[in-house]
Amino acid sequence: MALDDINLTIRAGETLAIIGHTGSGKSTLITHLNGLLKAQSGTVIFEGKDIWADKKELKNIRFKIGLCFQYPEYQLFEETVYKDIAFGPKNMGLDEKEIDRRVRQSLAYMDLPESYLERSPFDLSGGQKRKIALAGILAMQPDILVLDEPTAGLDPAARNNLFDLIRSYKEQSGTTVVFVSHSMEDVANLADRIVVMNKGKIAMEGAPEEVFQHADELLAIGLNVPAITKIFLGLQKNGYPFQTVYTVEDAVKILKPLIGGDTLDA
Amino acid sequence: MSFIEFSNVTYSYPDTKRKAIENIHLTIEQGEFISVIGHNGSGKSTFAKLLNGLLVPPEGCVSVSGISTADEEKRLNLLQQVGMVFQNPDNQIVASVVEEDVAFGPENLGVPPEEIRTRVDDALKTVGMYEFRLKAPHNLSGGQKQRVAIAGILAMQPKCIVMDESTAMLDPIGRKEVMDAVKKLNREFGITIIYITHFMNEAVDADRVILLDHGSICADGTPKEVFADYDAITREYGLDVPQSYELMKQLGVNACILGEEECILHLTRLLGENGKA
Repeated sequence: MALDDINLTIRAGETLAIIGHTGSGKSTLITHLNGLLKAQSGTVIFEGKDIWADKKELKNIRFKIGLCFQYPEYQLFEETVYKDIAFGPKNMGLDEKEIDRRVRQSLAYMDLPESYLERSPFDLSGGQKRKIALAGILAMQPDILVLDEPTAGLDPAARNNLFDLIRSYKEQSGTTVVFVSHSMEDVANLADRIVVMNKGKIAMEGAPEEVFQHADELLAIGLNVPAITKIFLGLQKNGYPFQTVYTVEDAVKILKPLIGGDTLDA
Repeated sequence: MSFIEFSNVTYSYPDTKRKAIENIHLTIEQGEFISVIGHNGSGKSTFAKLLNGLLVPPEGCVSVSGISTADEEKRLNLLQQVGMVFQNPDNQIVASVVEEDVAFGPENLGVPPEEIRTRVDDALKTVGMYEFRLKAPHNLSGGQKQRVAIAGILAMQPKCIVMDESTAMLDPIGRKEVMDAVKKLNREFGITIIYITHFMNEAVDADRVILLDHGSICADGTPKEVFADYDAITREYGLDVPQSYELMKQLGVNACILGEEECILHLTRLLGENGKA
């Protein structure tokens, strides 16, 4: 079974990370969110309504729940960046003026200059192509933005940049964000809440500080904790009763007062 | 003579003015474990393709075991000596059964059938995939597929394996499986490993790190030597550093600590009795 007895509530405005090893059901789970797949049993409720209750309405739900697949740059197909970003809003039946406004706004969210609009998406770098693909989803102004491994294959600078853009887009728009990632560090830095998938079931659910407490269980199901968390678990073993941290920022807050600016060399 | 030698190598792709690789001069010895880092477009993949003659430089010379990669007659020999594993596990499997996929290389080299059998079995055992030998590759996980790809190269008895971001699409356990497999090949069989990656925690596991930027080598040395200049790594070259190093930096501790174990030891020494209950 790809998914087995999933009970999950996604709260408006939250950033939810879904983690799990390959084949644990992450991607299957997110394709149920906007009705690309239909579960044999159970329901998916969006804003109080079963998404499958009215088939005509399902199309609109797909505009409201914007799904960005892995390596979305492979799905670019138009001659120009403008046309590619405009594809979604056009399908929504919006007028030209509104489409134009949304195309420019989405491009701005991705921090790319308007000069890109007339370029071919195929002449851009990998990281830029991915931003264009993402802008195409933002142009539909979804209520929920669902991202399947948004930074896979990007170099560190491009990865940090894309996460910063997603974070600032979320702050400006208030959109709910659901993302799948294999990077525990990225999850720790971005998510308010984490859902851990294993063998089609939800194995754990909670805030990062709760989930990353369970390092042994996570390792047992093929996952990991951020490196900084491992360091703190090691310090706890050495007799320091620190709380478990999952970001470098929190680690510094705890350690800085205790180390007091010593600059010992290794 | 070194195992691999680059002398003044420059390469540009057709129809572009920009040089993908510019004036690289470098030697690699048999048995080294080298990671190659650099942002997208820094020339890493071009560098990889120059290693086994997939690309031949118009300027300068690349040689492997003393044979120039420009020597067309020795091309097959070169491909057998230097194998490559690419990023996408689904793009490099050719057969519908695992063991047939691994046999593809030696078959093309004209290895006798009975020897192919032994080589395939040995290769699959080495990467821990022997029990999957009769399975269909599409049912395997990403990490398992990459290990099958490595076995396919191993069956050609190479001297060097180039991993071109081969763990980029894998989950944490898949990454570890692949890293463990190549470490074993390096340690036990002395196979030279050239490991291209965007994961800095993987890069610092190598004996030697080569940092590429705009097609040139900007740093070449042990992980500690290359990562010593924190500002250059994080700003100039668009990379990041392992969290243990980031922590040291933010604590104002002047120590290039790249691994978690070392970080725990160092912090324990710095803290002493401070912070203990």
